[in-house]
Amino acid sequence: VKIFLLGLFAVANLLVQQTLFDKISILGVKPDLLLVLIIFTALLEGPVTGLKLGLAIGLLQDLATGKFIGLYLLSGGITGYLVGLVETRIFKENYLVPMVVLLGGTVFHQGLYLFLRSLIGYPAGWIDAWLGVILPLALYHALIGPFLYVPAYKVYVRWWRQIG
Amino acid sequence: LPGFWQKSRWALVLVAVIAVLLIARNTGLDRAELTPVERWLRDLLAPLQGGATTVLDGAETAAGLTVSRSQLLAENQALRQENAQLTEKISRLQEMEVENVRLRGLLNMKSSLGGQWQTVTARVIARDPGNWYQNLTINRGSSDGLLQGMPVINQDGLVGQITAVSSNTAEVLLILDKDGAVSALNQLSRTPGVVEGVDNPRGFLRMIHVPQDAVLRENEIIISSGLGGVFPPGLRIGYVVSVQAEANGLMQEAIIRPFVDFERLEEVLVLISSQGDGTP
Repeated sequence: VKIFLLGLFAVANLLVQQTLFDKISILGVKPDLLLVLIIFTALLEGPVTGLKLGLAIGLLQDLATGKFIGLYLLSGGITGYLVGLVETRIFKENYLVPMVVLLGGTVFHQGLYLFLRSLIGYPAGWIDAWLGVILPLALYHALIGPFLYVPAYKVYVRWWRQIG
Repeated sequence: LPGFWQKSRWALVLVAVIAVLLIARNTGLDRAELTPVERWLRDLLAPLQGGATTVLDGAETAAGLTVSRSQLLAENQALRQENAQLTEKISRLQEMEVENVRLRGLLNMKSSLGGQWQTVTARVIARDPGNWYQNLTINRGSSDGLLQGMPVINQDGLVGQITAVSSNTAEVLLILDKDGAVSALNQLSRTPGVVEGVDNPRGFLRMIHVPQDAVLRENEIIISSGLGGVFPPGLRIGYVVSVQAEANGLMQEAIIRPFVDFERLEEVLVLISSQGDGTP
C-alpha cells in the first residue's frame, strides 16, 4: 500500500512540477518537489527507503526529461541514501532540520548530477550553474521547507506509520 | 551465493553505476529517437498534463471571481448571485479575448511566413520537471506529421526545435537551453554570431563568437541567420541588453533578452517545410 501511495504521489508531483511550477519560479528557478519528496522520505524513514525512493523517482524524472537516462536515478538514489543516514542522529520534530537538510541535500543532489554529467562527457559551466541554479534552488527549498515539512511530518506520524 | 554477494557487493555496485552511466551517455542529445518506455510514458501522461494545464489556466481565470465573491458577502443574496454570474462571464470573455489576441498573432505570423512553410498549431502541455534543461512538451506528435528537428515559433519569434516525438506529443528544445544554440545575425549590421542559452542570468541568451571589431550595440535586434538549415532566416530572437569582451579577448559577446515570454508560452506553431519530405 505504501509503495502504491508513494508512486501515485510521485506521479502527481511530477505533473504539478511540469504544469504549474514555471509560474512560481523565482529568478528563473522552480522548486523541485520530487527532490523534496526524496529528502523528506529519507529523513523520516532512513537510508534504505531513501535509496529505493531516490532510485525510483530519479528514473521517473529521467524518463520525463528524456535526456541522459540514469543520471537523476543515480543522484536521487545516492542523495536519498546519504540523507537517510542522518535520520537517527537528529530531532525530526525540530522544524529547522528540514531547512538545513534541504539546503545541503539540494546542493549535493544538483552538484552530483552536474558532476555525473561531466563524467559522461557533457561538462557544465560550473560558476554559472552554481550561481544561476544550484544556490537559488537550495535557498528556495530551504525557505519553503518548513511549510512543507510541518504537514508532511504530521501526516507521517498520525497516519503513514499506521499503514502496514 | 550470500557469501559471494557479501564479498563482491561493492564491485557489483560499481559495475551497476558504470552501466547506468553508459546508458546515460547513450541517451544524450544526439540520439535518433526515444525508447519505447519513454514514448509510452509520454503518451500516457499527455492527457493528464493537458488536463492539469487546462485546470490551472481555469483556476487563474477564476481567481478574480473568488475575490469578487468575498467582497459581496455583505450584500444581499440575489445581488451576489447576479454579480457572481456576471463576473464569471466577464472573466471567461477576457480569457477568450486574450486567447484571441494570441491566436491572431499566430495567424499573422503564419501568413507572414509565405508559402514555403506549412504550420501546425500546438498547445504547451508540460515543462521539464527539473531546472537543468529548458524544454517543453506540446500536444502534437508524429500522428500530426511532426518530426525531429522541425522549428517551433510563436508570434513573438523563435521558440526552439523539436528534439523527440511520440505519436501524440513532441518535445521542444527551447533556444534558452544551452544545447539549443542558434546561428544568428544582428538585424542592422548583419554581424553574425551564435546565440545560446545561459544558466546565469536565467531566462536570457548569450550571443557569442562575435568579432571584436563588429558593431553590436544595446537594443539592437538579433534574428536567425538561417545557417545550419534548421531555422528559417529572419526570425526574431531578442534584443541586445549588454555587450562585453569574451574571456579570450579576441571576440565579444552580448547578453540577449528573448522576445518570446517563455514562462507564459501557451500556444506555438511548428513549421513544416512544404518542399518534399516534410523536414525543415
